[in-house]
Parts: sequence; C-alpha cells; structure tokens
Amino acid sequence: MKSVPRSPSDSLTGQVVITGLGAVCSLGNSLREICLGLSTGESGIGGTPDLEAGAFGCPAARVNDPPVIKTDIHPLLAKTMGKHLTLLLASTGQALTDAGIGPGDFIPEDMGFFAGMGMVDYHLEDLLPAVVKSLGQNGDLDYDRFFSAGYREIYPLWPLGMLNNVAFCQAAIHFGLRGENSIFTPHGDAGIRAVAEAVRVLGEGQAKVALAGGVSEEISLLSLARARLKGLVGPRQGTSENSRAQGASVFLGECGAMLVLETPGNAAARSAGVLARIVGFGFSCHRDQKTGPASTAAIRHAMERALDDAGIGPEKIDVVILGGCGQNESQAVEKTFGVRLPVVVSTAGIFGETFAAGPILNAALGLKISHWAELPQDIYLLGDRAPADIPKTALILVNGISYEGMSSSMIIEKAAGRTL
Amino acid sequence: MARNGKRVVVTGCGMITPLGKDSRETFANAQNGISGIDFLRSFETEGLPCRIGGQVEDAWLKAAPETGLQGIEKCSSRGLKIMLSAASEAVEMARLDSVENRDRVGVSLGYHGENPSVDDMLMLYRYSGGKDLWDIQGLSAHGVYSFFNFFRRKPDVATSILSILFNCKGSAFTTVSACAAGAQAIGEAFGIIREGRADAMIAGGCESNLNFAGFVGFVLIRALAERYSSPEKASRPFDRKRNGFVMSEGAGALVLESLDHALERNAPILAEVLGYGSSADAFRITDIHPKGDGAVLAMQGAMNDAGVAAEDIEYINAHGTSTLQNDQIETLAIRRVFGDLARKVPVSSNKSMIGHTIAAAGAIEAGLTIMGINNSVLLPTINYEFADPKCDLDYVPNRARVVEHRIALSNSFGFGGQNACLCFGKFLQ
Repeated sequence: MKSVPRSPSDSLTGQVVITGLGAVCSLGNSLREICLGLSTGESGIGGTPDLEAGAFGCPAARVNDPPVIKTDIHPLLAKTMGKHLTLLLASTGQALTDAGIGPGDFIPEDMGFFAGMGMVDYHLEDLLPAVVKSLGQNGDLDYDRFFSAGYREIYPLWPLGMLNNVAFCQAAIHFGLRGENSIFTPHGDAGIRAVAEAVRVLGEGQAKVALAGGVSEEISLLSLARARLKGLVGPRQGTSENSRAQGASVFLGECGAMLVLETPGNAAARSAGVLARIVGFGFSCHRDQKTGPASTAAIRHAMERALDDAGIGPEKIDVVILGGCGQNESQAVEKTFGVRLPVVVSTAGIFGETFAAGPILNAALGLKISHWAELPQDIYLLGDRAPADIPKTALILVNGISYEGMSSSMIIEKAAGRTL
Repeated sequence: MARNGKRVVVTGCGMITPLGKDSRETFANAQNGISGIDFLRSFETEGLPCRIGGQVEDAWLKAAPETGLQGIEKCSSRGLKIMLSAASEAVEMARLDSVENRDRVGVSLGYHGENPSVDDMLMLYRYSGGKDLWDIQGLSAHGVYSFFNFFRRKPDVATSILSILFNCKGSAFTTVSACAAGAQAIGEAFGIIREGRADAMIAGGCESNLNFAGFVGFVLIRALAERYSSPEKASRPFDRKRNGFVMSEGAGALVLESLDHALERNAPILAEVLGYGSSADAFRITDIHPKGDGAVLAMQGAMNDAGVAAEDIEYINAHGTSTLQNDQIETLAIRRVFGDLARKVPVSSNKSMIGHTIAAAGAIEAGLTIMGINNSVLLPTINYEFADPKCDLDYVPNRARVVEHRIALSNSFGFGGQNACLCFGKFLQ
C-alpha cells in the first residue's frame, strides 16, 4: 500500500489537483486519439443507420468501436447497463493509469467515486414481447391476455435499465472503489457537480483520491426520440460543415470522461505529476421559460460565482469552453466578460451533445489548448485574444448547461510542469 | 458538532406516505404501530403473486403553487406530485418564503422518474413496428406518446420544477442511487451548506412505482413479499418469516440550513445534521456484501464525520427492508460497528409500517428519525413475531417506546451497492 496519511492541512476546498485524465468519444478511444483527430480535422459524426436513419434522419457522434474491457459479469446483466458501462470503465481505467494508480495503491475506502450519468433508457426489446404476445385479432392490445400471461414476457431485469446507478456500481466493483460516492443526472451540470463533490470530499479529508467525471447517454431509439421531441436535434440537412464549426446545431454524442483528483500533498507524496489545479465552482438554476434550458441569467450567475470562488476577476480567464451552443450561453459570456473576451471555444459541433461527460472532456481538452500552435478551426469560436497568446498556466473556465435550467461552471488552472 | 465548516440544521420537515398525508399524521400512525399497506387499487393485480403495496391517497395531494406557466402539470410525474406535497409542508414549516436571497437556496432530489405505462408500451410497439424501425412522424402526429411522457421519465425535470415552484435559484441537482437516493440527496445538500455554497436547501426524495410496469419488474425478480396472511402483516423486517419487501410510494423533504442563517431569520430548528457517510459495496450488483462492509463504512463514515463514538448513538433507524438478505446483513454490520454495544442500541424499521418507498425511503426515515428525537419516541418495528437467531438486536418490537434520545443514525442502502448513513442530533445551542 502506498497510502498517504491524512493531514488536516489538506482540508481546504480549492486545494485539489488533477493528476489523471481519461476519455472516450466519437473521435477516439483515448485523449491522445481525440486530440489527434481534432488537430487533423477529423469528424466523429455519422448517421444512425442501425437506428433507422430514415425515420430520425439524425446525425450522431457515436462511439462505434469502444475499447473492450473484460468484466466477469453475466452478459445479460451487462446488456442492461449498455454503453454506459463501456464508456465509464474505459475512461476510468485510463484516468487511473494516467495518474499512475494501480490496484492496491490505495485502500478501497479511501477512493471516492463521483459521476454525472446521462439518462439511461429501458430497452424496447425487454418490454415489447409482452405486447406482441397480447395482441388481439384486430391488432389492438388484449388487456386480459396481457395481464394474465403476456406480462411474463417482460424481461425480469428490465427495471435495471431505468437505474442510472447500475453501471456506476459495476465500475466501482471493477476498480474496487468503496469510498464516498454519489451520482448526479443527466446533463452537463451533473458532470461538474460530480467534480465539485469530489473536491469537497477530498478537502474535508474523507478520501485520499477521488475519481470524478461523467458519461453521456447511449444513443438509442428512445434517446433520439426524446431529443427530437424536445427539439434538440434536427434532421441531417441542419448540420452542414459550416454550422458544425459555428456550433449552430445540436446532435447527440457518446462520451465517457473522468478525472483523478487528489490533494497536492497526496500527489507530492506519491510523486504524481499534476496536470491542473481546480480553483472554483459556481452553480445556479433558472429556467428560460421560452426555450427550457438554463437562462442567460443562470449561466452568467454560475460563471460569476465560480470567479468569486476562485477569487479572481473575469479578466484573468484565458479560455472559456462553452457547455453548448445556445444563444443564452453566448449572451452570458459576453455579459460576464465584457468587451475583452478570452478565447472562447465550443466542442459541441465536433463531439455533439455529450451531456454529463461534456464538461469533463472539455476540461481535459482545455489543458491541451495551450500546447496547440494553432487551435483547430472547428472548435475556435471567437475572442479578443489570439489563441497563440494562451499562457502555459492558463486559467480555463468550463461550463456545463442543462436543458432543464441548471447551470454550472468550473475553473481550472493548468499546471506548468506536466503536459498531456 | 460537525468537524468542518458551518453547522447545518433542519428547519423544515415534510412527508406524504401510505401512513398519512403529512409528517404529523405519518408519525402519529407510526407511533401507534399502524400499517399503511393494503391491497393495491391503482392497477389490476389479479394473478400476480404479490398484490399489495403502500399507496398514497390521491385526495392527500396538494395542488402545485400557481405559476402561470404552461406545461408544468403535464410534465409532472406522480412522483413529483407526491414530492410537491412533502416539499410544501417542509417549506411552510421552515418559513422558507421569507428568505430573500433565492440565489443561495437550492434543491437536492433523489428520484428516478416515471415508468412507462402499459399504453406507452403499446404505443412504442405501434410506432417502432416491433423492430429497429420507428415512425417518428407518426409518433409525433399521434400525440399520445408525447413529449411529456419522455419528460416525466427524466428525473431532473422534477428537480427543475421544484426549483421553479419554490423559487430556488441556487444549486439544483438530482441524485440517482436507487434506495439510497433520498439519503444521498440530504447528505449532498448537507455538504454544500457546510461548505458555504448555499444558505438553505430543500432536500429529499420521492418515488411512485405502483404502476404495472414498475411493479411487475420487482414481481418477476421475486423481490416482493409473496407470503402474507393479510397486507398489513407482509412487511416484517428482522422477523424470521420475512420473505421480501412491500413496494410503496411516498415522498420526504427536509429544509436544511446553515445554523447562522437559521438563527438570523429566527427559523424553527428541528435538529442538527451532525454527519453523513456514503460508501460502495463494490461487491456484486445483485447482492449485498456478505459481511456488510459497505454498510459498516457508511455508518462509520457518518459517525466520524459527526465526531461521535458508538456509545453516543442512542437509536438507529434501519434500512430494514424485510428481505432475508438485507436484514441479516444490516444486523451483522451494526454488530461490527457497535461491538458489545450493539444489543443496547434500539434499532427499528419504519418500512414495517410504510413499506419500501425506494428513493423516498431515506428522506422519509430521516424525517421520522428527527421527529422521534423531538418527541422522545422510538418508533416500533411492527410484525415482529418470530425471532430470527441471525437478527438478534433490540428492534423495538411492535410497540413504540418513550425514550429520550439525542443522537441517531439513519441507514439507507441502495440496489447495486451504494450506501448512505445520516447522523442527526437534538439541536443544542
């Protein structure tokens, strides 16, 4: 065991650092692949042919060839967890490796685990056989037949497909994580909330290391239908190459992204390289009554609170990474940062709406930005500073926006030493 | 007494359960050992091996505060409607409306959203064609499986609506940890206030699974009580003849607040939140750790957080589901934490009277724990008739006990292996 004794001096919120990153999305199965894809202008967007593209006509940024992580769970149980499990296992495993943490390095109860989990959806094939078995001659449901026998065709474990925590618990089993934990759902704000809770737990000395991040929805018939009916996604013609660059349209994306967090003292004691320091959070909730998502006021309030929490003014921020591509957020950024905008980027046009995973992937990419000689055109939006002027110890503000009114912001300060 | 940051107190408590329309009625009936379990009326149960549950009367539901906003009613699941009643009671008790800075008032909710109805299944069949084909235009045009069905399914819609209705503009989030969700929602809210990120939070949980699709899943995995002489006898935690849990619906809400804030506005103080611990079994999705490791960690975590020792705990509100596995392992876990003191600490299960309200359970039980402290009453475990040698603690069998007690734990253990424990104390200036 390499466990480090707890020290009261570590118990300060804001004194938490990132020592590991892991991510999987449509552009690649690791951060390295994702960054490479970005810098070469690749696109992770594809159609949804296996989900009847003719009906939905939606582009999507799916993880088509996810890493295979061997677990010892029964295949039927794994099926109920869907791609959530794959994305969570892959990103968590990468983050632990990146942080240099192996099995047995910490006792399980000292390892916290916090995640924002995108919506899970039940599987139609678990339910519909009961309907098929109960249809009358005219094609209508024979309720007597359904309630007397048809219901037995329902797959017994179908309710697990309704629980966002099952894949999370399986990941806890896989990596032996027994410490403080919680799950939030389902949008971008949930990913940042997970990091904030991990930071608090570390600050209070209730864990020595914590994993925190998020997982998107699995793109399925139900997730596409939900997004279509909500008006989040449109048909393929609405997503031209130009509009991608401007982030003007939304499509769903799959992603898992995780951070390893610990106190600087803990990181130093085990000689772990520090990638960044987490310096502030802000949260608010106010729904835009016309459009549903967080209002301009809510987004602005979350950013201002994060700045207050970090004890800095807006002029200190070097990079803002938007949570989405909505007008409310653009207006909030303009109001918060005034006439001299930092470098403002959005990855929504590349990765799609990746819900709880989005801000975590963005935070990881934010740490990479200062190392790029030139920002990929597809993510750079605007700013009064040249991207080339971003310092090596950039202060990066990342937003996580919910479609139900919640807004969150997180500020990280890139460490000078270690590079991705 | 909390080790770090601000002291956090409870200034409002609300609930709606099969035992009563509010916290006062629920507590009074629980004190009298009354069961809220009956034959289900909300859907057809003929032929099912379990036909009972704990239902909330429709007449008890309070109307949502008027907002003038369209769509709120249609987006509101039954779970949310139940929660509105509990939250209204808590908010009124805490006089939360008097707080002017709404940017520092938040909502923390444990909830899992609404199940599809049988008609929803039929609709999905029609428009999906039973294959991977879906006629989205037809589905939209039909208007039956509408936008709103999808949004009643989303847990965070309930949180958002609560934030709107109670004018809370601070942190708002939804926890989804199965049967531990309500307790985790309270624990997370406690942490946020203690850290100084909010002045007050409405925190709790709600659930309504008493519909065919929700219920039959648990029937098919044989988790529900199937052998009972009468509905009110079916939930029998720690009793040797227990054979599964009884599904119920309900909601519980607390208003948590920093002590400074509560004193400043002269709010009623019901109790202090002393500590919170969470853990993961990290053992097996469908089974509890056989030695109760996760439960032990959660209880020890809450006690460490509160800065109290085993001898300080005077009551434990058990998770106590009435399943063979949970009750035996929870007993073992309590013995591991409390050692020789275990048999001296009264332990009882509210689920013997209320049934299992899933995400609401931790919040309802937290409220009843606080009311027990304030009324010097230990609520009973009813239907305790046949001793189980593996469950050998003082379960406060069948009759409430009048005992002054100041510090108590409330356990909640979620499916999949997430565990939460809250530590409450009588408020001492």
